[in-house]
Amino acid sequence: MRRLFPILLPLPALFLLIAWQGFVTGVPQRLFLFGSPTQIFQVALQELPQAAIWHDMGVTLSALLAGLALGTLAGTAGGLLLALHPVARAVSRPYLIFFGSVQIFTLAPLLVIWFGIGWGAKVAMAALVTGFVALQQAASGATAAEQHYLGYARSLKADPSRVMWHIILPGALHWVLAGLKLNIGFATLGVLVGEFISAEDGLGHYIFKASGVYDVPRVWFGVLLLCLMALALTAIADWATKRFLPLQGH
Amino acid sequence: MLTASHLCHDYGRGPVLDGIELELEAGSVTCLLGPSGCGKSTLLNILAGLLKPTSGTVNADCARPGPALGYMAQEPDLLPWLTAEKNAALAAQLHGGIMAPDAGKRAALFRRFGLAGCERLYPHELSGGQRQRVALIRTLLAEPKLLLLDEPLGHLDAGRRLMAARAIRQYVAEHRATALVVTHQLDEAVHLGDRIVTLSDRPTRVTGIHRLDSPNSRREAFMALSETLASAPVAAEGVAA
Ligand SMILES: Nc1ncnc2c1ncn2[C@@H]1O[C@H](COP(=O)(O)OP(=O)(O)OP(=O)(O)O)[C@@H](O)[C@H]1O
Ligand SMILES: [Mg+2]
Repeated sequence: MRRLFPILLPLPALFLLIAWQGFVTGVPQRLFLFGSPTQIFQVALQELPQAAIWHDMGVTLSALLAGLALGTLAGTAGGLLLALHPVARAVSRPYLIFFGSVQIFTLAPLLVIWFGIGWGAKVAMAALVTGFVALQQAASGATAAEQHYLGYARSLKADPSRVMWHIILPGALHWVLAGLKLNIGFATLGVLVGEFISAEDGLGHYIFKASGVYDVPRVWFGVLLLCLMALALTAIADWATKRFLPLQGH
Repeated sequence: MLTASHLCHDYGRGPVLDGIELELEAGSVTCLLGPSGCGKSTLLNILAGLLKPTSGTVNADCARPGPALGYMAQEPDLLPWLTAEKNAALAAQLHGGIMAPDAGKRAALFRRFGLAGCERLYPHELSGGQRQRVALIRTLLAEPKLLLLDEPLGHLDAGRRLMAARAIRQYVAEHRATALVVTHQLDEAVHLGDRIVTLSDRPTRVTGIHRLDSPNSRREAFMALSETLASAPVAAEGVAA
């Protein structure tokens, strides 16, 4: 099994591509609706040497990273503040549940109104979704650390600022990091939604534009680029999780 | 060293502790024996200052800087993001300045407790018994004057249990410390303690104090307590009356 793995791994993909190609070949209507792997390949050859597609990728990636960073930082800080104050924690809980049930993506049109159709709206969208997840993770992590690990520190009469630094903060970060992979997906979605609704560049805009003129191969190509981007980010997050999150080491 | 008078506690569903009187003498180990759920952990939490009793008072005279108290909870509470050795040195981190981290002493304790080679492992990579020993090292490393240990040897095999019990006794003797150790094992209590305090079932009171200052008294206490435990809970009530 172990030895066969490298041979078996590409088989499903190969099968899918061949089936797809076979399905559309010779039937113009199907080719129009679904595109074909060879067409996508041709689009790639055409687009990749040009600056425009790299610009779109750069815009999407930078908005995604900026939103992720902003959301994670702000969310973590907010979550810590809420969790640390017993009153704030009690009062904020129902609100968190309420806002948790709001589909944040439905706010996208508003964000476009507030931030315009440029880069800002996408970042805001990504920051808002990821910020909410980070907030909840940080609050839960800090609360869990308080519940499980504080007895010993309190029995030592340790200085609160040191307890904060050595126990509460790592506990919260632990949970935030555990939510990072989920959040990369959310940030990607946030940027895409922003770009679908209204934008002048970015991969989402590229896909949207191509679908507007029924250019199916270009849509697929954009989707493919997005997948690759998300895969790369997830791989980095995987590495970071393993490196900084020994709890999930298995 | 530590005196508890008339401690009562109620979590809101009927009395748990019902007038506990307890005096811990400096330089001695007291073992606390009682049925599961009678309130031993509750009592320890009150003595550690983590829980406010419904009524009663605790007086401890340990006036010195740094951690005077070494509390070890029944539930394992090592920090999952720190290695075993960093967990063991946590008190120094939490009390920076007052306590200097002593790597040599830490290494010696790891060897003594059979954990050499485990220093760089994370809690989830350790067995239950290993985690428990790391928590015990963490407690001893802070050099507290008062040890409150809640079933510190629960997950250990017979040999390690005796070895750890000896290490606790030795620590108490060397530092003229005071220890209160919750245990469920009669042999462990007899081996470890200078005194055994037995508790009744809820509402919980002290039912007996056995002094163990000679091999003879240890044997006698063992026999007497075996009798009582074997015929519990009826006999336990009888002792209380
Ligand atoms: N936080 C809590 N809230 C409400 N009731 C509690 C709480 N903690 C303990 N109790 C109750 O108090 C009683 C004593 O619990 P405690 O944990 O002190 O027992 P114990 O003697 O340590 O038992 P064991 O030997 O099984 O560890 C139990 O009946 C338990 O249900
Ligand atoms: Mg207990």
